[in-house]
Amino acid sequence: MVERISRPLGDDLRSNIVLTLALALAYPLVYYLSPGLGLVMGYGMTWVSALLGFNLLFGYGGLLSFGHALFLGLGAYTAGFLYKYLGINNIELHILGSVLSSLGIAALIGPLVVRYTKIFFAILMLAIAQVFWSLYYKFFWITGGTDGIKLPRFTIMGIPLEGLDFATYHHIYFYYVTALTLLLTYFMWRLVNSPFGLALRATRDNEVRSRFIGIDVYKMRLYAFVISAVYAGITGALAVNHQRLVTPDIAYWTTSGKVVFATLIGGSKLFIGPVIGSFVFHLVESFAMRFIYWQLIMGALVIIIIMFVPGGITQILKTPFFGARLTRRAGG
Amino acid sequence: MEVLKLVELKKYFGGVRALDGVSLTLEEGESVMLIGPNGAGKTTLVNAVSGYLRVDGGKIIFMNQDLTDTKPTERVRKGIVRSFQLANNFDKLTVYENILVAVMAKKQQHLKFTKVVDNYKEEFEEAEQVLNLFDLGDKAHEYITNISYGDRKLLDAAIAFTLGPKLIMLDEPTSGVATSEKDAVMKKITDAIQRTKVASIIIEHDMDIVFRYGKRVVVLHQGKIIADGTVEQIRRDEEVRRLLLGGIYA
Repeated sequence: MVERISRPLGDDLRSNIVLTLALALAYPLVYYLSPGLGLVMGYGMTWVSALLGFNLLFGYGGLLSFGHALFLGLGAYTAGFLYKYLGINNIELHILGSVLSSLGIAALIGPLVVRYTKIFFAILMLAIAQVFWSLYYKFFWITGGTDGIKLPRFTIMGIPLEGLDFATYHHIYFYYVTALTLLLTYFMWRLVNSPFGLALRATRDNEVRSRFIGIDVYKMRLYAFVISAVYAGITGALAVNHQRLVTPDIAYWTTSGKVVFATLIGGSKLFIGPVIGSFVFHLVESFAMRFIYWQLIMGALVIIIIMFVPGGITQILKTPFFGARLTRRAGG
Repeated sequence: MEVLKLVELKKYFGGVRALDGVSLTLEEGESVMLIGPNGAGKTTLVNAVSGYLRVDGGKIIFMNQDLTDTKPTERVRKGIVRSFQLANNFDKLTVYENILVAVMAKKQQHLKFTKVVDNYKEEFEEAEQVLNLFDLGDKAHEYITNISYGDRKLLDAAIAFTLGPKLIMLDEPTSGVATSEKDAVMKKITDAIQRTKVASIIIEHDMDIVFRYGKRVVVLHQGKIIADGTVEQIRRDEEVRRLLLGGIYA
């Protein structure tokens, strides 16, 4: 009898849950030692959703989007508009709104963009994202332009968090995002390990063969695109509640670049890659930002990663050391 | 019953008449070996019938249905399945997953995402069966890049059989395969054809293989069928001899 599917470390659900819980456990200590580092962890956790979404398209679907800022921006401005025009600062409604807006726009542009692959898909996404950025930038009487929209502290299920000290507020935010991230990680893991995920990887590897086993490649890509957009939109809504400010920056192409960078740093080949990438990226960014030439440091890092560890940080999980442990576990 | 009926199929590439009025009928369970010199239009014929190429004229009737203007995916669902001349697998999936995805696609489950694949017991068993039939069981968890080219070609054919076709078209299943492996590959394929009673069109270059495994042989030359008969008839045919055998078998 043939053995069934075995997943390497980092591709299994357990290691993903353990990592997230370990970070959650470490947070109070990190925050106590350095509130700044705590905020960096907050950004790391906030971005996990967007990166998981990005990697559904990139790692599993083979479509490199260079315009995911489009959906982060949509999520962010949905939250911003909900507050500015309707006075809503309930985070659940912000998330719900961002899900709907990114879903709607993705369903609208998806049928156009997923007909293209490779550089054409990447550039098309970049172009569309820049169009949205310019809207946020130019229509300042609606969006606040570069001044953006300031947000008060969010409420959780209507419970206000004003009056709490900073540390408590940050902890509440972090654990709220952690809980949501666990949920989103679980759903994404199920998705990529479902028949849909398997077929999506098949379309990535060989579009022609996929068609000739009866897979509708266009439909697969469209669904993946929409789900990916929703995950990025959620990060958008969370991120602006973290910094309590919505500016066009989050919709700018550099944000798309960050999404790609962080995924490459973590590695796109294992499910856990983007999760690790999110934390490492924000950590490195926060250190690099102390210098004037911080982009130089980030750029050098990406060059090193691509040249020497193209599988990203998670490539080490595939080294003999980890490999041997896995074989033992699978055998016993 | 007729599985496939091609009526005056035409395909032109500029001035080249790759298919110049090909008419061919296949009965249920019938096996055809398609031979012909390079550029005769053999692969074009498979491409036209599978929907890889749009034809410029003629009709493709499959199980009494006109499928001339349908998409490849629809033809696959109706039961027209093919393999490729250059091994065409899913390179970053394991051998097992290559078959499993075909099982999922056949059952139209590839859009489902509520259950993890591990829970699809029936599909696993089906994939396992296919792997064992083609002697790929011990390589189930290998990635495509780690198996021999012969195994890759075999896997390509195995994927096609997994889909439970009514007509299977294999484009040179032994091309590029080491001579020592050719017989083994061909034997597994002909066994599978007999067992599943599927109608088949196999393009073949190696005349040894044609004479050993062929029953009905169709000869294509410059986009036209110039001979159609049993292996013995083809062997004796003067024109075919001149065109293909070049004296070796004369």
